Order: sequence, then structure tokens, then C-alpha cells
Amino acid sequence: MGEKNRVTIDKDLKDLIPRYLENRNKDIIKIKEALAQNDIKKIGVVGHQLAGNAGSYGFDQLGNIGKRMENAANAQNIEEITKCLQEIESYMQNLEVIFE
Amino acid sequence: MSLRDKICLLIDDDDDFRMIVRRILENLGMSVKEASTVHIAFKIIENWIPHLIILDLNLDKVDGFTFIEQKNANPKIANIPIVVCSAHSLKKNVLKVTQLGASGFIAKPIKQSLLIQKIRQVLRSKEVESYIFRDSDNTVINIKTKSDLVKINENFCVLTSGVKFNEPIKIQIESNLFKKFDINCNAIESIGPSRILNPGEYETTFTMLGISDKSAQNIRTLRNNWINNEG
Repeated sequence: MGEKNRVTIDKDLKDLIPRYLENRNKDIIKIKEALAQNDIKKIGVVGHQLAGNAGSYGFDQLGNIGKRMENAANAQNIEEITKCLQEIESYMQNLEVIFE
Repeated sequence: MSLRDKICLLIDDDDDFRMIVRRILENLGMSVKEASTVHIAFKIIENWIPHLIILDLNLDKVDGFTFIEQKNANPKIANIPIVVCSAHSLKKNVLKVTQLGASGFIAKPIKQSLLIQKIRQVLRSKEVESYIFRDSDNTVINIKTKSDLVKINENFCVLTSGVKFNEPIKIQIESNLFKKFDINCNAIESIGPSRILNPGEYETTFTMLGISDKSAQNIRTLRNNWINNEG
């Protein structure tokens, strides 16, 4: 278990966050399945959406990882995709959301 | 301006992005309809005309560029303003959507304050407080809208507004500024098509018609006031 990721989120979004984070855990499963099937295009789509939505909620670092994953998928760089997947998993495991 | 009860159609294939934008817009009092594809969006528009469309470019099957082209080709909905929200924020994409007539481009991830600011700006420029169409043989349009005076002399005036003139047309004008300076102008006539300043913002030059000597004098007073205030 790594150091906690403390992220401050607008309290107006509090009721949206559980569903949002649940969907990110589903993304992890999607990416793993896509890697197993060598469906790099699907990984690019997940990365692209993550790049667009994560920062919109306030999860900037997660969005940056998504962007890197999208770029890695476009470049067919499996090593980088795998690295990004590990970072997403670590981020989600160590995430602590503070509402203000 | 109040956004309350304005209606927005949100077209994006990302459920989570639609969720947060819906929250932002509903907090402003806006009503929101959602579509994950262009096909669904047009189905919604058949029954329900929004004041504004927020559009992603990277959609499944039919992309956002094509949506804008298809919307523009339908005279009933061509004037609905579009704000594009996309992670594909390359200069060429911004240029392309602007050329297609989109009213704004916001790069994802969005900042709530920037989205709200852009929506207010776009809807303000489209604000027409009332319009009345009479019979088609003698069509009269009565529009009340905000307008800025750019230049004026006894013969011409230049106004910016959300109204675009495509050809010369004579209109009657009621202006609080003209009333203040006792400028009686029977009508003004647009000279040629309006110049596009920004999407939804147009500059039009008009000939002043039926100006009396007294009103001409008052125009000179207005100009002097203007020059002195700017000096």
C-alpha cells in the first residue's frame, strides 16, 4: 500500500463521486480484458475518456495518466499501457477524497 | 442574464462527462437532455428544440463535425448555438468547428467556471427578448435585443448585436440611447451583409434615414460626449 493520494473535490459533486469511482474500477477491468485480447483501440478509448472526464471532476493526476495511456495506445506501446494501468490501480487503491 | 429554464442538449458518449456537466447546468437552473450519439440527438431535436447544444467531437459512428454540418443544413435548427467540449483541442479542430459555425470551444477536462462563462456569453449574444411574425405576405419581425453603438454620424451608424443581416433591409429602430439624446430617426437601413466579429456577434452598418436638422445636431452632441469621455 502506497502513500495516500489526497484529492480535494467540490462538495457539490459529493453524491456523484461513488458512481464515478466505481466506473474507474470498471475501467481497470476493461483495460485488463482489452490487453488480454490485444484490443489496443479499446484501451485508447478508455484513456481518451479518462483524460477528458477525470480532470473535470478534480482528479487531475488520474486524467494525466489517462492521456498518457491514450497516447501509448495510439503508439501501440504495450509497455507504457501496462505502466499506466499499474499507476491507475495504485491511484485508486490509495485515493482519499476530501470534499470542500 | 439568467440561465434559468434555458434548455441544453448535451451530446457526448462519455456517461461520466455527461453526469458532471448535467450537474453544473442543473445547478444554474437549466434543463438538460442527453444524447450519447448523433442519431439520438437528432431524435431528441425532432420534438424539443434546445437553446444550446454542448457537443463532443469524438463520438461513435457519426462524429461531432458531421453533426454540426447536418444541423446547419436544417433551417429549423441551423441557428441553435453549439459549444464544443472536446479533448481533441488541436488548433486545426478548433479552427474547423469555428468555420462550421460553432459558438465556442472548450478543451476537456473542463473548468466549471469557464464552461459557465462561455454558456452565458453564447446565450447572451443570442438573447432576443421578443419576436412577432405577422402573416407571410407582409412579414414583420419585432426584435428587442441588446446592441452596442460603435460609430455614428449624421448619415451612418455602426451597431454590434446578435442579429445578423444578410442583405440590405430597412428597419425601424427604438433606442434608449437615441431617446436620451433626442435623436429621432424614422428608420435605418442596413448596408450589405453584417460582418461576423465572433460566432453570434455581428457588426452592421446602417444608413440613417429621415434625420432632421435637430436630430443631426443631437448626433453631433452624442459624438462629442463620446469623444470627451474617451479622452
